[in-house]
Amino acid sequence: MASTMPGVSPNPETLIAHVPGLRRYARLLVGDVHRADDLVQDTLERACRALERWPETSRQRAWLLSVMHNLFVDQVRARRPLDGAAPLDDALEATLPSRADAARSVQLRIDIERGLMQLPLAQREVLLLVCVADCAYDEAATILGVPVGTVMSRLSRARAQLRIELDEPPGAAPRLHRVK
Amino acid sequence: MTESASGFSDDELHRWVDGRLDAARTEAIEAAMREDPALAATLAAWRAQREALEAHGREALDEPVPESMRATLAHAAARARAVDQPGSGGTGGPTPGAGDPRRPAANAAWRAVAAVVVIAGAAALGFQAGRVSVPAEPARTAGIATGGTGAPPRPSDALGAASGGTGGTGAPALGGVAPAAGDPSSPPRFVRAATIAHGVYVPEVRHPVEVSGDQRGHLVAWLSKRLGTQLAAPDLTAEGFELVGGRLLPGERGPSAQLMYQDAQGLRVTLYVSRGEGETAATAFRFERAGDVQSFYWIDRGLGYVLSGEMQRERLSTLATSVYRALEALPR
Repeated sequence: MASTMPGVSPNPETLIAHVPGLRRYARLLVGDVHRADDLVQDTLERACRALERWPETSRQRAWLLSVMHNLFVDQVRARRPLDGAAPLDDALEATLPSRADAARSVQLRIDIERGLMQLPLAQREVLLLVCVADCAYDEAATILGVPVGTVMSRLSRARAQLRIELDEPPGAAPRLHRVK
Repeated sequence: MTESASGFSDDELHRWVDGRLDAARTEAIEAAMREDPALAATLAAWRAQREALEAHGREALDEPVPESMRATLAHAAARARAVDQPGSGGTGGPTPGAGDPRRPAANAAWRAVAAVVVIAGAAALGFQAGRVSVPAEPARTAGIATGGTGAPPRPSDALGAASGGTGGTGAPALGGVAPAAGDPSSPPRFVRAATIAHGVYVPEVRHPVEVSGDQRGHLVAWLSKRLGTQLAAPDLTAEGFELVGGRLLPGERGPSAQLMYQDAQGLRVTLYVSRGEGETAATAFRFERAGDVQSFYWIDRGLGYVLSGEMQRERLSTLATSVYRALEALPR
């Protein structure tokens, strides 16, 4: 079989290697195991209906992430407000009381989780692509369909916002380290 | 810009955090951090975030892939293989495009051979349909249950068909296997209904059937009652297929039934049963193909049967024989 010919259908079962990473990424993105798995399932189904559009192996992961991104955006548009997530733009200055007496590592884990969910969706996506999926900036831009400059500015805002969430001592007034 | 007037661009700061900065600038930033506590604090915080995120949610990586995801991929793989094989020379058949046969002559030719290949009651003969060279019928269209007799054969369609219908290479209209009036070589209408139903329900992950196979007795009794005749759900475990379940469907002459089977790789076949095909009518096994769905069909004692799947013809014919034998063995 001429598997190197463009357009020859690839073997969908090779996608299985990407599933654990996709599930992890989706959980951090949507913050809920079941909804995350539904998103992964939908991503795989859509991918399998478009075998002819599969890129070469080295770019399959990015392609899957972009399929997932498109589905996710559709979902967000379909159900507003997205339950459990901050509205698109006004979470920039949101902070939550933190628990200073918890063990530091547990605290960090909880805070990272909560901090992530406090981020506007667009910023959360960029941060997860860069830090969890370890995408290069231009790769993240391709996945999201935005210019690299947009990725960089979202990354800056996400990091600044997350720093506020993680740094803030309990009861202290929010100090805004706004990067931009 | 950042809170520190560091002289580094945002881009460089992020690159440092993400380990994507070249060595010279990395050194420069780290030197600046020693002089600039605010810069150092910012970058340390960002680096800590990154490390926390890297460590976060890793338990998901060790979890087994859920069955529904496996099934989706396995099913797509099975379809891709089934479509690739007849068209890509994998089974030694003529390659579509080379000597690309044109209808209607080609159509008649392959039908004639197919009719010889599969013989009613072939159980006794132990036929092996796949061994007989059947002229390759070019996969006609992408998508389920398409493949109109009016659509010109296109060599590339075998590839498009693997997309399960999103390739846009073929005519979107249904109607591939509908018989032309008065054409005795065309399959009866229930075959078309069966391939459409196959295409609709086989990809369904969450609700492929109405009554599941673990309620076999209830399923058969219910469908028998609705079709007004005694049905059976043949046991295909010897062939590696388990009964997923079945559903009631509207047919041209009233209710029809669809039984679905699945193998360990998630490949699914359906057995469609339609009544009112003539009380005494019986036909030979016949082969029909619509898009990437291949079917064997026959009529026996007034019931039309269609076994459809996306797999090598030889394997499907083996299954069809098993189904026929199982039904034949039933007390009447």
